[in-house]
Amino acid sequence: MIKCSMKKIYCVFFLLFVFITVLAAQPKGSQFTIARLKYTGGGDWYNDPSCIPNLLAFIKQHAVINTAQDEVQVSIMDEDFFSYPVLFITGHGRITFTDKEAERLRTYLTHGGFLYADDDYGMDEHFRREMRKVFPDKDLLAIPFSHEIFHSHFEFANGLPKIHEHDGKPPAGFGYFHNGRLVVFYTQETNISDGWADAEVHGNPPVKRELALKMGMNIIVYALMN
Amino acid sequence: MSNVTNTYNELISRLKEYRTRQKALFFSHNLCRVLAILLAVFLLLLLAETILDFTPQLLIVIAILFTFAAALALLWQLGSFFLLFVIHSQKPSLNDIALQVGSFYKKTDDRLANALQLIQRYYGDTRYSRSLIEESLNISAGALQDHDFKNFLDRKPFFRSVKYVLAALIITGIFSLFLGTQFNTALLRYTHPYLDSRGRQAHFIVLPGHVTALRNTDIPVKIWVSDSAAQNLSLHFSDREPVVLTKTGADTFYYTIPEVKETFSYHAEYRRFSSPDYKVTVEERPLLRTLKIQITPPAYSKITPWSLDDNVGDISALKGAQITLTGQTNKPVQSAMLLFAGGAKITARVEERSFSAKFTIWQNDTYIIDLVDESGNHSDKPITYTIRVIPDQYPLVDIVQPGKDIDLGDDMTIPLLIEARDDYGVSLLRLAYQVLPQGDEQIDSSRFVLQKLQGFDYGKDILRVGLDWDLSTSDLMPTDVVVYYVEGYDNDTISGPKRAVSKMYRARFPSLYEIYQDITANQDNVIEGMEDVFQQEQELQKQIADLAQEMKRATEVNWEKQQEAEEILKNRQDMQEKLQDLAADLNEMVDKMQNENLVSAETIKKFQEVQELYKEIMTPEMEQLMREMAQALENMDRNLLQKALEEFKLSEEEFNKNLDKTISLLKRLKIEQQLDQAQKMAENLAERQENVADKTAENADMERLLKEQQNIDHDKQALGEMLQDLQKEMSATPAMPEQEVAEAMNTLESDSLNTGLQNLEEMLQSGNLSKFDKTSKQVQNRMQQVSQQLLKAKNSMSGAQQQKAFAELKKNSRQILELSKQQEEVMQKTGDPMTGDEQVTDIAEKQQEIRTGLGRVTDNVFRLSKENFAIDPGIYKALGLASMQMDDAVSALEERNNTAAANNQGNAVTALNQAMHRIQASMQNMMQGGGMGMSFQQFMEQMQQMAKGQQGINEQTLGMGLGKGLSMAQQAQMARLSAEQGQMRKSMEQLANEAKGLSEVLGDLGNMAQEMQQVENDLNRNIITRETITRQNRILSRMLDAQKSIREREYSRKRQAERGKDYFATSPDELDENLGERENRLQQALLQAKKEGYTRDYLELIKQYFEALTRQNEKNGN
Repeated sequence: MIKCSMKKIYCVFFLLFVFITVLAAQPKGSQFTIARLKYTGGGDWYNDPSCIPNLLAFIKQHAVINTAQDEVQVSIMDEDFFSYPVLFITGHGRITFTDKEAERLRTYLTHGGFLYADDDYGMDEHFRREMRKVFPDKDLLAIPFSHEIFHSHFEFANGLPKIHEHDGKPPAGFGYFHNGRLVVFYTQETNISDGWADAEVHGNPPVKRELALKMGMNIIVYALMN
Repeated sequence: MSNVTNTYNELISRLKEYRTRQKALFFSHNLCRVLAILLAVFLLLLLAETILDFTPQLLIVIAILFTFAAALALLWQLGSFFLLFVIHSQKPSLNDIALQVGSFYKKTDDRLANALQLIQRYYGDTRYSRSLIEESLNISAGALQDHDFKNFLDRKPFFRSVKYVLAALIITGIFSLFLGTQFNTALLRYTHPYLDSRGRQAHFIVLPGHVTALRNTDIPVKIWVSDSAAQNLSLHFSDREPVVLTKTGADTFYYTIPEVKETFSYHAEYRRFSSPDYKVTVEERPLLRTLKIQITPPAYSKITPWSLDDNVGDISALKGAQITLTGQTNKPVQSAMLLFAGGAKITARVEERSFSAKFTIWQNDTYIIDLVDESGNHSDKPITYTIRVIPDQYPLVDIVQPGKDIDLGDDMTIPLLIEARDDYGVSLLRLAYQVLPQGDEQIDSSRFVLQKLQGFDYGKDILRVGLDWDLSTSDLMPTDVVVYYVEGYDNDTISGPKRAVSKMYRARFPSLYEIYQDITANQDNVIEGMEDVFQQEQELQKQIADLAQEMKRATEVNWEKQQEAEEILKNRQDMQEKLQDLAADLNEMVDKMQNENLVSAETIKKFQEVQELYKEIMTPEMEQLMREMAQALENMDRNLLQKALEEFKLSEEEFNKNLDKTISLLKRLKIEQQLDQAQKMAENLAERQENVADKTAENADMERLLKEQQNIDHDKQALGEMLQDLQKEMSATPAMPEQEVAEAMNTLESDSLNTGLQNLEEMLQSGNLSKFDKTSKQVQNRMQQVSQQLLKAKNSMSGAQQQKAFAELKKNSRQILELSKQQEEVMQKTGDPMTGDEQVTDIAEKQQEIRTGLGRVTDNVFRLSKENFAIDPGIYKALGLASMQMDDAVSALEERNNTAAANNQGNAVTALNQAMHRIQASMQNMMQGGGMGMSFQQFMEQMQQMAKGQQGINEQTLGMGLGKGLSMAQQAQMARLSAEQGQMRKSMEQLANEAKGLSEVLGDLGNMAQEMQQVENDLNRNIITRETITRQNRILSRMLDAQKSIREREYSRKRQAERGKDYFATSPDELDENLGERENRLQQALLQAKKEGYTRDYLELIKQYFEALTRQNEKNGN
């Protein structure tokens, strides 16, 4: 028990250190936020507008991170695209990246950026195809439960929580790695981000919403720590 | 007075002389004694040396001691002389001398001494009588007048001493006489201790004397000794046993000291003589202790510098690689030089025992490292190291896809997959292309346009570039040919980037008419081929029937029967092969249509259904029967053959039926497809016309535009021919939309269109383009009208198919009614209290039968519901509920719980009735809709067409300007626009009616038609207000929104929030070491292999192996 507690204390200190470092690296007075990726192709990139603010609030409540209240929306070709450490992409349908966008996204991801993609049903085929443009030389790998992203802050020993039903399959997490770092985390058959949305949007019970927010926080913490 | 003085002086003089002589005797005596002693000692020493043969050292000591003693003795004598005659010259006093003299003569006694004392008072002291003093002096002087004082001297000791000296001399002389040479030699040795056997000093000359030699070298020693009598001498070493040398030359001895290892001293000895000690200082040659080589490949290779293993000097590296060589030596060196076989010399920087050098390799070579120590010694036998330049291979560039000459598709893009390889990275890829206008086959190499392919990770060894080469902006005209290739450069900045070129391919931009002709021809081939097979099949059936009949009469399988049966099998096999070939053709055709978007998605779907149907023609059972028949033939078994023939016959009938059905479907589909094609072609002509107008406005190449305008005219004629053919085909097929096609044909052949096209060509020829845009828009609208009319025809045709669906729904409803009736009967029996156990079993069986029947109906309804939007999903749900209740009823009956069973059965009846109600509602809906429901795809296509049309009307309306006061021409145009808007309204009303099933998603399309009516009214009144424009924009916006809404409908059905259930999930496998970074894996493996010094061939093998692994992973879907 003592060992466990000490480990936790170490973890807390480490996290504190990381967060302070991250915050220190940001311009004075800036607040951490998540950038929602605007994409073309017809899919609803704007889906669930309440999800990111809720997650940011949850993170602020559970960690020493000065989070903003709102998301920012950014396109790959925007000038300030590289200003955000974490990108979020979701939707139900088509996504297309032009060659230039794919190249820019690759540059972003291979230079410290992180992309979290959540399939809200119908995005899978398009996302995988477009990411092959971004990383033609990499494989999208199934992420085992032992990976740090499931343990970075809250413990998810059995992998991703199941928030929504889609095709009656267990939730799955995939990822692209660059130089050993997970740079893209893609969740399917769970719709974590729907669980971040306001309760009345999808009628998720509190327990599911909490699981989704915890997993969301794990993702963000992992993204900031690595 | 003078006498006294004279006497006195004389006396004094005599006394002084006496005193002097006395001292001389004393001195001589002593001197002789010393000499005698020295001689004696000397003699003794000589004798001792003669007898004892002292060592030179002892001799020297003795000689020194003797010399020292003699010197002391003589010095003492000299001191004595000085003391006697100088310092104590007045001693003894004359008074004492007078007393000594007086003692020798009795008469005088001490009178002389007294007289001398008195005489001293004679001149100063008056107390004494002078006379007395004179008298005393005279008496004493008189008494001694005749005596010689010398006689009083004692000479005996002196003479004794002299005797001793003489004796010593004599003895020495005697010894010298008797001992002769030995005595003389002994004397000589004292004076010269080092003398040879002959009494001479022994001299040695030892060569090389003190010397510094290299380890393991031999040292030749040459010794010359001054004694010619010497026959042997010994050579002594500090670290080994002495060796005895024998004279081999004139007084010279030779010896070679073998392989000296450590520093030592040596000297030669002859008799008791010894040469001085000489030192041999052994030194090592400069030696390379450690060698380290770091190879820094040229930067372009992106290979990180690596080091060879310690002491490995053989270098294999890329040309231009910089080599940093460092070494440690066994001793300080003054220089280190790298000497290359090619003649180059590189001086290394030296510091004590280490050195370093840098050089760049350019060619194969060898080198040695020459070390020179501070003594000037060079390193011994330096190792020759090799330098091998690994060649940087030329890159390889290949256009993997399409990898052949192709026709450009509808999207005007060529999906290129370019693979470029280079052993150290590809630095640049350029796409080179040129457009060959229609009919021009001559490639002009100077006209190639080079386009750098950007946005890729250049520098990689393997670069796979996938890009959609968009040629839509290349001003291509139909029938133009694009010739292209890709050139790649490696990143060899040392020798200069090497260039490689892929194979050259052509992409032809076919006219749509050509494409459709091609597809139609293919389709005709498939149908004709299937019809041939069908004919063969009928003949085959007859053959089988005849043979089966004969076999009934025959008692055995004779040779003729066997031949006939084998022929049947062979024909069957041929047919099968032919069908397979046709299937491949069909697949290829469908793929092409699908990939190039040549027909609608709905048509493609139907083709895919035909493909599925096609698969059913050749069933596994048929294969089995053929095998059985072959087996019967082999065994010559009459019964088996007969049985096989009978079964074969039945199977062939089924085959024939399927084939016939497929052919019919294909023929029907061909019409549908041609209609599709015609519609697309009309649409394409409109787009091309718009494109020409745009280009004209941009003042593009008028000649090309004229050509394109002529092509449009030509293709319009081709479209007319296509529609004529289509009309012919339709006339031979029932339930075809001939009327709609005829309307489209009329529009296409209308004077306004023909004149418009003619005018456009003339305008382009004359260059008078003032009305070009306006005329072009009119032509474009006409074309779009043709497209819409054809689309309407297509939908009408689909409506016929909807009727079929309606019929199926009706059939299913009858079946449900029947099932409901049966269920009710069973329910009554179940609920009858008189029903016994045996009857319950029967009831249960009947219930199961009803359940099975319901399953079939449910499947049918489900299939229908997937194909048609008009089918209410509630039907399926109600049927599912009924099935569930029936299952429960069966279970209850098995448990003999009749009450529960009856209850379930009642619920089942209720659910069936609900399903019936919903079916009827759907059928009603279909009937009201006219088209009996519209599919998603149909709606999308029609709405898309209408949106384009509305956009055209909007633009033209906007071009008219706001307000009134229109010219006659403008009024005419306004009337035309009003008519077009009216046509659009009618289409919208019809669409709204047909798409009632989609009303949930679309809202009320009828509102849109009302808006259109208002616009139409404005146009009729020749009034265009701001509200008119706004309304038109709203209509267009609504049309576009409707498409978006319907597109999202599919998702929304599944998007409805459903809380996630908990799943038992297992973790995926642990991550592979390479974390999915395929290229890294390959690169690392290659790098490692390179470091490990694998040969080029092995490297290539390793590369191929990893590439194969990568491909395998890709196939596996990773």
